Amino acid sequence: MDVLLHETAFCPYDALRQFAERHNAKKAHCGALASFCGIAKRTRTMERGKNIELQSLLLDCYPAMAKICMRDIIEEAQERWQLDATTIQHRIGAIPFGETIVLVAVLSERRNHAFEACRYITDMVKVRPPLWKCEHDTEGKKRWLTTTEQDLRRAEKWSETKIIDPQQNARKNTQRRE
Amino acid sequence: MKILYFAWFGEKIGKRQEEIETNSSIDNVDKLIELLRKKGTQYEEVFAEASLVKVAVNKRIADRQKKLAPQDEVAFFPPITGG
Repeated sequence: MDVLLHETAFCPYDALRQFAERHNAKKAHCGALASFCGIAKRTRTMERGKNIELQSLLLDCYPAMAKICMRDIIEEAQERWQLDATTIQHRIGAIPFGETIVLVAVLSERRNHAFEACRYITDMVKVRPPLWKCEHDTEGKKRWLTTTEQDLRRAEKWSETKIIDPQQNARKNTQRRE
Repeated sequence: MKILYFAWFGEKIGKRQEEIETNSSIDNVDKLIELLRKKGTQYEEVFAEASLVKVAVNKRIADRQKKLAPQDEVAFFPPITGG
């Protein structure tokens, strides 16, 4: 599993190609690569009836803990699905709008395992690693964002889904690492 | 003890990291918060709303009853808004 924090811009397509090449060469049986790429979105906010244009986004981070947390999320995904390789790559610091914030990619023999694991990891990465978003507007004001209920609900929903045969998943995942 | 502050906690307190001399009576997170609150109004403001104060001890999310040792790394931060 690889977990990376990028302090400068990274190209998700290059990262994805490198990830696929790194793992696919020795794991030719993989039938699926699912990925999610999150992009810094320019949102408009209304303040006192006025449209506020946002200038930039800052993502504060506790890097050592974020990496541990992302590895925990990958381990949980490996318990739920049969995965050959997984990567979470997250941008931190100042992020211009339109640039990639996060890349999640999963290689698996089966596409439903790849799709679902990618979605699980993405939902968890939205709410668990210690990252804080701060927006700067064109008037120079800054605003720390609060957690969205929608993100929390999405992450919580996974606790309701049953883990199908974790022993078999663990066995297959171990075999593949060998 | 190494104390870290993230997001607006760090801005409010004016630093992201500090070393605190503790004695054996500061043996859990709750007692550490009480000690820090006495350091000034900026600390008082950060710790005022308990539901907004999240804690990690040695890089793992912890609650206020979590036991502490002098070599621990304790981080305080507002609710996570990542991703």
